[in-house]
Amino acid sequence: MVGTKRVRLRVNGDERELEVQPYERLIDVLRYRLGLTGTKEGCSTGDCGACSVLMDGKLVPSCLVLALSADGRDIVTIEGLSSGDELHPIQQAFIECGAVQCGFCTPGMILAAKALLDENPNPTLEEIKQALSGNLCRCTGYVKIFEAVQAAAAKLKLSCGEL
Amino acid sequence: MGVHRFEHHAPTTLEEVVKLLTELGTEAKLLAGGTDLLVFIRHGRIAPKHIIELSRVGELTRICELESGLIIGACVKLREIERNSVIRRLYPHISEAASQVGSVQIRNLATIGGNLCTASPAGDMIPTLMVSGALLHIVGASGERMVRIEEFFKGPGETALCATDVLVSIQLPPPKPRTGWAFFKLGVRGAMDISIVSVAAKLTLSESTSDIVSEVKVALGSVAPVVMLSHSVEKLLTGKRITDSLIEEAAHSVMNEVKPISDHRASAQYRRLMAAVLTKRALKTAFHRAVGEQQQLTQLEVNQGSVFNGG
Ligand SMILES: Cc1cc2nc3c(=O)[nH]c(=O)nc-3n(C[C@H](O)[C@H](O)[C@H](O)COP(=O)(O)OP(=O)(O)OC[C@H]3O[C@@H](n4cnc5c(N)ncnc54)[C@H](O)[C@@H]3O)c2cc1C
Ligand code: FES
Ligand code: FES
Repeated sequence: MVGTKRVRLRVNGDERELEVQPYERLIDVLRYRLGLTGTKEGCSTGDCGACSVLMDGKLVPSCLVLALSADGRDIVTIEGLSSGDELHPIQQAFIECGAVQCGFCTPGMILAAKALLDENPNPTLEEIKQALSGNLCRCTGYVKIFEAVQAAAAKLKLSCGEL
Repeated sequence: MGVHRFEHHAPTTLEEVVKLLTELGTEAKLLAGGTDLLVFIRHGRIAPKHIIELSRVGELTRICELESGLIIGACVKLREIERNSVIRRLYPHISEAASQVGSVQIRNLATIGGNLCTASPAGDMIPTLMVSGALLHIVGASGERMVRIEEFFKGPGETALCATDVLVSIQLPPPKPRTGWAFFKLGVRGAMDISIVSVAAKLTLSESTSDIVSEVKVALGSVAPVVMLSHSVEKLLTGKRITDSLIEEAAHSVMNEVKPISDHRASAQYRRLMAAVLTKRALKTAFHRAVGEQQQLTQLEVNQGSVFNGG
């Protein structure tokens, strides 16, 4: 018999305590227990990046993390980026640059961009391509996505007042 | 799709891990990063009843630099291997190989020990650890032992580990002076790509100023059931003065040694030819690094040069 276990997560700043099945994945908990459906499931095997979230600040595919493996960790999903009605500069840049078509890849792309810019505020185009190489987009052809990340980097610099 | 169900265990010491493995036997599987294990479960290739998670065992995630060499815990993430300053300085080829696995997302989960224990002929960390003379520290119900990496792989997906064994760490001897390293991987896309052929090289020059090779090792991935060391390169180059034509000859010799298969990624003949091309590049890069020149091919040049221009 397989029994449930208790897991404690901090999701977008809120402490959550849940009973989960040992075989449930982080993506299942986010989407079906917490209703955070911004995290998308594409391939379920680590290939597409649509399910990417930040775990303790690091970009991970939530389809390859067991909910119990995430016990005690800090999770940020796409829902955690905006503050109130105000979008995060990376989200704004994606809209302004036309980097969103169907939108399925967008949450993962934006979190991959965030993981990159948190570490490297001035990435080259090549570094942007590398950092996003685990995120597939079937619609845009990537050019506008890369432009959006460059625009977001510029916005973030402005908002830090460095220019 | 039906979801496979299993129990989850999260021990915090190595002793507990071995005890659980002893109690649960073949129904249990160890989980490190899960990037192979959870995919295999998803695809129905394996169906363990118990998952024993290793991530809470502290001693598996350490990197220690000792006089006797470097010890890398089995559960160190590939992203850490890619960026660790000690590894980048002493064994740059190991960082370079780690940086080419999957994507950032995958490298944030995947561990070096998981890459070895999956024992894929295409495992990117294996050739680099083989040319580095790695020793594997294994602990199990019957005690602990050290296994040379050449003796670890028994076939695709098969290793020297028995059911209660845990790979604890990978120990690397300190590099000798005047040693150069290289790793090249051929894939189609450059990211998220299983290697079509991969080659790692180590070249140590004799202490004097001459270009005489005192030690050389070349390991090749994806060209045989397990990653293999080339004996012909060792035979042809050891004790000789390095020249371009000798490197050509050594590279050519691996074509007769490898035993590639044809699959959807590449034909056996293409793999054989590319094994020689990458061996040549790896030996040249290792040589330049051994004499202290920074000159080297980038991975981009390897992919573009070989796949698109045939050279
Ligand atoms: C999208 C994607 C892309 C990938 N790209 C690449 C690539 O480019 N190159 C490459 O080489 N690989 C690639 N892989 C495969 C995989 O990421 C690597 O093999 C990785 O290093 C496995 O490590 P892990 O920690 O995730 O292993 P896990 O999945 O946790 O474990 C793998 C196996 O090893 C066993 N195991 C793990 N740790 C130990 C231990 N300490 N002692 C005993 N047994 C142990 C497990 O029981 C399991 O059988 C890719 C995978 C995915 C999903
Ligand atoms: S759904 Fe997780 S990587 Fe595709
Ligand atoms: S916008 Fe449709 S998949 Fe990227």
